[in-house]
Amino acid sequence: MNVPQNVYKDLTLCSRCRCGFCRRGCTTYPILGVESLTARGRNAIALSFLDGLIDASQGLADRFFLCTTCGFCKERCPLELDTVKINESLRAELVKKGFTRPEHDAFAKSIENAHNPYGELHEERMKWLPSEAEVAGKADTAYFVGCTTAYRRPEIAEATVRTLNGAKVDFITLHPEEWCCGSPALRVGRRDLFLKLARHNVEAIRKTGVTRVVTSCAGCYRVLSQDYPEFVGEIPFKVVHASELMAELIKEGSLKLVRKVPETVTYHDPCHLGRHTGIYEQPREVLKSIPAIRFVEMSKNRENARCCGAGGGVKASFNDFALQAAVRRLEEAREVGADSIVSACPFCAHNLKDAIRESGSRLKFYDLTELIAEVMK
Amino acid sequence: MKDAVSRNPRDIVRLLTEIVGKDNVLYEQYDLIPYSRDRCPFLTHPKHGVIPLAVVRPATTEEVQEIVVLANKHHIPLTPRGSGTNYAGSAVPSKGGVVVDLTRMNRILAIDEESMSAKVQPGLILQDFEEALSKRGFTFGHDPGSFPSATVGGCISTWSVGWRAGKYGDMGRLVLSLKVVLPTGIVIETRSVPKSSTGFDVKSLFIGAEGAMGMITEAVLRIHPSPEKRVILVYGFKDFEQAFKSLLKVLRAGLCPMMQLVTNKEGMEGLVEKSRANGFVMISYEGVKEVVDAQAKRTASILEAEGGMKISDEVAEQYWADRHDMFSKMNLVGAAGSIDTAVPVSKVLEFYKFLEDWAKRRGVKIFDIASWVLPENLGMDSAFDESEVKAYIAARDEALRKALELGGTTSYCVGVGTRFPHLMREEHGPALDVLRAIKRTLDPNNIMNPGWLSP
Ligand SMILES: Cc1cc2nc3c(=O)[nH]c(=O)nc-3n(C[C@H](O)[C@H](O)[C@H](O)COP(=O)(O)OP(=O)(O)OC[C@H]3O[C@@H](n4cnc5c(N)ncnc54)[C@H](O)[C@@H]3O)c2cc1C
Repeated sequence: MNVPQNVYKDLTLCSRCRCGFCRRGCTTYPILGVESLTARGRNAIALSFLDGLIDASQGLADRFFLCTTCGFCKERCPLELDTVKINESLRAELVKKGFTRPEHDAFAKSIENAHNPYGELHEERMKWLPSEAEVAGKADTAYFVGCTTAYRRPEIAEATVRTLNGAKVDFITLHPEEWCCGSPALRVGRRDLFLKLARHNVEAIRKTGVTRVVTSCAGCYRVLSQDYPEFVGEIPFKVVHASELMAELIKEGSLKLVRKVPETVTYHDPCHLGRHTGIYEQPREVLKSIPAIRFVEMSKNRENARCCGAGGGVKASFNDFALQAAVRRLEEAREVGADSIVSACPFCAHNLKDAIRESGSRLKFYDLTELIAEVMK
Repeated sequence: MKDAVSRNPRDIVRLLTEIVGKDNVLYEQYDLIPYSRDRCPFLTHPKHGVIPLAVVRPATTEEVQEIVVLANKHHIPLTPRGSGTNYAGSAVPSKGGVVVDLTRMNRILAIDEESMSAKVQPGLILQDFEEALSKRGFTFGHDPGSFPSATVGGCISTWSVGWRAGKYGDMGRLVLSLKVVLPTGIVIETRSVPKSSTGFDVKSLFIGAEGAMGMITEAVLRIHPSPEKRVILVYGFKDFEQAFKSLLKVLRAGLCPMMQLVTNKEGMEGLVEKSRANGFVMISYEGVKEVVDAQAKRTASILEAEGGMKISDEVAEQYWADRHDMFSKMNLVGAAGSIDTAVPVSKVLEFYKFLEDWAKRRGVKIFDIASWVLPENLGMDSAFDESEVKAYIAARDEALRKALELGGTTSYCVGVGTRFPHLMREEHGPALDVLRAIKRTLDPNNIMNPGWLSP
């Protein structure tokens, strides 16, 4: 059995401690209520499995896959155990043993064939790009679009490009060399595939000579800024999320917000942007800069924010559950009187919009870039 | 007597499924493992757990009742479970059988602001309760180290004690009434008034019963106005003895802290680096602002007159902020074990000296020796080596017996569980037979958490 030594050590520490502080804010447990879906429970199963007390099975593997890896448990763990890494290491082990989710098999195959998990044509990756958009031939900045944005939430891509153009930030895109960032592969335990994608993208970016990569996707942001350096070594460019860049542009005056939004708006922290990479304030600063906006916080925000329910391969495999989790999040937005919920992740957008539709909620959803593109000069 | 059903897990699962539906019965090994242990310090690896036949997750008193009737008929041991954070091993299905996970029953049923009480289900987590109350200007006031995870039912059943118990009382004091499914399936509900003189207090049979007397399915609990202000004072003293005597001076002055703690130097390690003090007193008040200010002022002057050195407010705040996590963090050093003994106040210093000497003699790594919440409570937190459990237990028993010799108890919170049922005859004497007789009367087939009270 092969998990990194520190992962095994963390499992033994959790097994000693068993405080269960991870359960309350967990995305899965309060909805499905089964202890084996909490970090504490899963860690006990993991240790039993690694120490040969129990064999792997599909049912066991599903306990690991039915987790959005939102990182609440990691945030709340008094021992500061990296519960997300533990789960992903176990997933990788289980995948090696052949216990996978068919939906993950399908998106992995699509990534292999077409560089995106959605079974879409690679040639159509930039179909959303408006003809009037100005994309430079050479620049210091590259816009890394990401698969979900490109194929499922093109409005975010469009808004990002309009914002960059409006603020006079020259940028290039990487197409046709932009492949899936690898997030879906890494998150569900397909490390070999992830490595291939990471190496390709890093090389493609390096060749362009850009010093900065901007992405409007929280998942891409986490992978590019954290996982690439960890798995493939130092990267020769800086990675920024669109919300960081917008906050900076507003501060220095190159992005001016003029149109009023007289609405009550709340912000949903995407896990990959918040808990995973620590970006909490910039999206809020951007929102609060919008004229006439009334900003309200949900009771669970920043480190304590509830996950939308989509991440870690869960939406692909357990969509009903993902929607249940999203509906709970919408409920929190409604409780504080929000007209709209804003976020900064195409994947959260995808799931929250589905949940708004399914539950008949009157809330509106915007990606931060969409709002900014609307209100800027 | 075991019958065919109780020997056949499949039959049990089928019958339980008829009661609660298939999503609420767990029987796969991987789903049972997380229910095979609680936080008992010796169960540091899943291999030390006891795997139940099944886990059942009822949502109503009626479902609990049907489960109990079924178990009673077929003599299947039942272990109620909240969050499994108990230190005593009493949430472990030590005799096998079925674990009854009560965490689906986690709703607040009513908050009666006028009566200052709330009716809740047993699986409600303390922190969820507190957050809901604080939105309405109330506090529950029960704050054990396990506040972020422990349930109301678990806390009643272990008679737990929390940081704020000086003002609000221990968990037992916070209970106004209970609804309980008795081991034979009869449902009883006591009256929601603080006391009555119509016989002895029936609800007290279930407070600290560790699940052996029945399943609590509802509780009416006292709630309190959110405090306007909280003050925390920390003073350093020459040694523990000085610190403890100074605390007694505060109490003798008629002051009644919300929280009080006297600890040795180790208890402040990492927080108070440069102090020459070897003993510390921490006292907190909360409530109406003017009253809190007056109490704090008087306390400070008493402690200063006793030679106390004021420790900064930041240290006090830091300690308070870490009051839940600190117990978990001890596990980074070794398996964290604790004793929660209490002795008469007049014997506390004698017991303290014994513990200091005992720790040295037995080579026990101490985090702290501390008197907490009530001056009688004197316990210690320590770490032990997982490969030397037997030696640790022998050492622990020596300390527990000393507490008994001094007229005290082996546990002021947490409970007996699988930790030390062997000491119960020494603790209770013939009174143990009283407890057992009550147990036999309520539970003739000995199905409810049959571990700790059984001969
Ligand atoms: C980090 C940490 C800190 C702690 N700090 C404290 C502390 O400060 N003070 C303190 O007193 N304890 C403390 N404890 C111990 C523990 O949290 C308490 O014993 C708590 O009451 C257990 O609650 P639970 O919901 O986890 O119950 P469980 O562990 O699940 O169960 C405890 C007992 O109650 C029974 N039970 C549970 N629910 C019911 C029900 N509805 N009906 C009948 N029986 C039931 C179980 O069978 C078992 O015997 C701490 C534990 C941890 C892990």
